[in-house]
Amino acid sequence: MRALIIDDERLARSEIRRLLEATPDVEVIGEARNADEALEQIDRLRPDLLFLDVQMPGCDGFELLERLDTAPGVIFTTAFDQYALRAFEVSALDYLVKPISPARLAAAVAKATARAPAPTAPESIDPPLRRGQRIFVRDGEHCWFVAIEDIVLIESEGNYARLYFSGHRPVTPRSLNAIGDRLDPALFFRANRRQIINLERIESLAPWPNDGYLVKLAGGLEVEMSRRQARLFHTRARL
Amino acid sequence: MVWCVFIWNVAYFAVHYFERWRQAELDKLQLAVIAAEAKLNGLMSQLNPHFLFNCLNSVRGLIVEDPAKAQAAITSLSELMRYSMQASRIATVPLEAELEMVQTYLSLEAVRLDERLTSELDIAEDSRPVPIPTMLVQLLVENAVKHGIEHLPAGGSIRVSSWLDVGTLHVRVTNSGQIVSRAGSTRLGLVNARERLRLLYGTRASLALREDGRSVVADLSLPAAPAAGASP
Repeated sequence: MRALIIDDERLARSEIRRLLEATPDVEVIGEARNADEALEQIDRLRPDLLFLDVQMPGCDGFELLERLDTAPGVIFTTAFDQYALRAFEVSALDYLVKPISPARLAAAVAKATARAPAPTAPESIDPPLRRGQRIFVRDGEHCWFVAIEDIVLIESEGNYARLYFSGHRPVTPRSLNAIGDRLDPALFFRANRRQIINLERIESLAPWPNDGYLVKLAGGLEVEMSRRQARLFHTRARL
Repeated sequence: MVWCVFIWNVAYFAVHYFERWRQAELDKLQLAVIAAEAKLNGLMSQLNPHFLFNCLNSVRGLIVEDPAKAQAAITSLSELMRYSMQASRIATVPLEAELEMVQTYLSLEAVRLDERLTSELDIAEDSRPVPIPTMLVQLLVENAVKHGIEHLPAGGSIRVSSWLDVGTLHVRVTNSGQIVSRAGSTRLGLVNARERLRLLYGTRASLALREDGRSVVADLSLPAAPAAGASP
C-alpha cells in the first residue's frame, strides 16, 4: 500500500515514518503538513492509505476528507481529543493514539490492506468511481466511509447533497453535480433534476402522471422519474 | 443601664465574630473541595492529556534524532509533572517558582511546535517573590497554546509579563489568536481559577479575558500581600 502521512508536527510525522519503515507491505510516498499540501499530494500521488492527524490547525481531518471525491483507506491519529475519540468509536473508524504502538499500527495496516479495492491499471484523469471505492461523509459525531455502490439515492440540498444509504441520510458538502460527474453511468441514473438513483437498488417502477415513473428504491425510498428521464431510461434499458 | 448596653455590645460582637469564623471555615472547606475535585478529575487534568501525549510522542521521536535533547525533554517533563502534582497540596507559590515551570512547559511545547511557537517573559524584579495560587499562570499559558497558537497554521507568540502596582500584582498573558468559545474543561478551568481567587482574596482579585486585535489577553490581578483573614 502506498501511504501518505498527514500531520502538522514534524516529529509526529517522523515517528510514523519510522514505524512504517519497519512495516511490510506499506511504502511511504509522501508527507503533508496541512490540508492544502495534503489535497495537492493526494491528487498528484493517489495514495491508497492516509495517516491523518485529526487536530491540525485550521482544518480538522474530517473536513479534509469531505473535500475528497473518493477516500482512500484512512487511519486517523490523535494524541488525545475527546470529540474525535467519540466520533471514532461511534463510527467504528480505525484510529491510533500517539505515541503509536507498533503492534496496533500493524493491525490497523492489515485491516486497511484487507479492505482496499483491487488495484487497477494506471488511471486516466478523473475516472468514474469504481465499486469498492468509498466516499467520506460526516453527520455530527457519526462518520462513514460509504462504498459507492451502497448509496441508494443522492439528492441535492441547496449547494450540498444528501446521501441515502443503510438507513442513514447525512448531508455532504459537495454539490449534486460534482458527485454526479464522478459516478459510473452504468450504476447511477439521474431520475430528475434533484435526484440521482442507484439502478441496482430499484425495487419497482410504477407509471406516474405526465409519462413519468414512481420509482421505489431499497429502504422504502420513493423518487419521481421525470418524463424526459423516463424516456432516457427506456432507451438505456433497451441497450 | 450601662450594663445593658455593655452586654448588648458583647453579644453583638460575639455573634459577629462567630459569623466571620464560620464563613472562614466554610471558605476553607470550599477550597479543600475544589482541590479535591481537581484531584478527582485526575492529577493529569492539571497537565492536560493532549499536551502530555503529544509531548511523549515528540520525545520518542527525538530519541534517535537528538538523544541529548530527548533526555533534556524528559527531565523537563518530569519536573513539570512533579510540580503539578504538588499544586493540589500547596495553595500559593512565589511567582518566580511558577514562572520557572511556565518556561519549562513552553520549552517542551517548542519541541513539538518548533518554529510555530515563540515566547518571551517580561518580569519586574519586585514581582518575583510575590505569592500566587499554584498552576494559575500555567493554566493561562496552557490555554494560550491550546486555543491560540495551536489553531494558527503559521503559529504565533506568547508573552508573559508581570508588574507590581501599589500593592497589587499584575500578571498578563498575551497570545496570538482569538478567544475560542469552547465548553468543557477549559471553561471549567477558568471557573475553578476564579473561584480559587475569590476564596483566597475575596473581591480583591480578578481574572479577565479579552481580545485585542489579533491577540488574546488574560489579565490576572491580586493583592501582593497575603490576604488578611484568609487561611494560611
